[in-house]
Amino acid sequence: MIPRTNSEAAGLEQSNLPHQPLVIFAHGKESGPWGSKIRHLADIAQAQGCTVLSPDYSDLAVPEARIERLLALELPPHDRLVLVGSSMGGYVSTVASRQLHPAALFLMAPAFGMPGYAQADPVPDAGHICVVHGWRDDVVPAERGIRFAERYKATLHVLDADHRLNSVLPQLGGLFADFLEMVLNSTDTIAAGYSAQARMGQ
Amino acid sequence: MEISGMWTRHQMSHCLRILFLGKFRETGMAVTHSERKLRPRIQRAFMAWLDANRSSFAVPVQLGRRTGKHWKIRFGGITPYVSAVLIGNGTQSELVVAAEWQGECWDLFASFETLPCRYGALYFCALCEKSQHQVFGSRQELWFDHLFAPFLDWVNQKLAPANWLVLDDHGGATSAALSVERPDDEANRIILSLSEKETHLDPKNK
Repeated sequence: MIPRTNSEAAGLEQSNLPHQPLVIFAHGKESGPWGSKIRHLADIAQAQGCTVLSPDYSDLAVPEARIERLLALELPPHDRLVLVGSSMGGYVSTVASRQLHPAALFLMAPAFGMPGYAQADPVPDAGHICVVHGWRDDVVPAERGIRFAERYKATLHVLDADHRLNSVLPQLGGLFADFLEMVLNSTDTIAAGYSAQARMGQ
Repeated sequence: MEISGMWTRHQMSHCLRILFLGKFRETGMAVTHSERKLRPRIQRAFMAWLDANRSSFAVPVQLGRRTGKHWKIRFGGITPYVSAVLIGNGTQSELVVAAEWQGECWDLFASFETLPCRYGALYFCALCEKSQHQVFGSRQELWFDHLFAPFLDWVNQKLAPANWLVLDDHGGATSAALSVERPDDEANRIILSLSEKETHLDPKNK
């Protein structure tokens, strides 16, 4: 029998326990549910006691269809929800946050303002938002992430990396670990539905 | 030759290399320059796999510039703005297909990754979900299954039927698509025939 890695140890066993944080990942357009970036972050989330899900959207080219799939998921019991998205997955997570009201959003090089996407500037709805972008991102320029972060008062990190952020995986993991720890220790995120708009005083 | 426990791995490796090269010389086996230089295992494995599967590709694959970690892959008869790269970065390996234009990565078409993990004499991919773990007899077999075969499928199913490369620019954010039919012209859209002869527009990609 193949030994479990740390990343896989939590999984279904822990999902049966109530009141656990749930982290749902959304992969990018060209990748799959368990690329190295998501696997790395999932390991971190599981080490912090979270249940993780990473739906496979690779058969769906259109982000709106991916959002539908995410919203249709039957979620395991959880006390708070964190959505994590990369590129197109960042858009998917942000749009879905309007209905899922997560405690937190962690967005990596989110693809905002892309053609074929129903919303040019999706409005997030989460208690805490963190955006990580690469200065050398040719596909979605860092300015997009910066503008979004400024607008929604999100935590922002711009790293010396390209669109995929794979070259700064340890650094990205550190940022995610700190962000997740802050979210999990924060009492105001236990009750979901903290509106970003309300936070902005709109 | 006695190999004491005091030897470092580097010394042992050097010693074995000398022994093997000597063996090849004795037996008259040829060790070509290119074989000696293909040190990363994944590059050797890809070369061997490609030699055995070249006829399965609907679009011919051409090997381009290579470093210790990267190997550029181009497609015969196809615009050079669509290319792939085989990346062997330590234990992790990856095959990425992208569109490049004006010296920039315009968009990614496909990304196949694996993280081979050894368990006894077998290998499995540590990126895969536990419930989907498959075991392989060698690291090469894992690479075939997770990288090379999906790459072949992508070439035959996505690239081969396409006639057009569509490059869109949305105020700095860029996307690329492969299309069978020629799409409508739009502002900030570049449409290129995938056939190579019409693609010498971008001096940076020549």
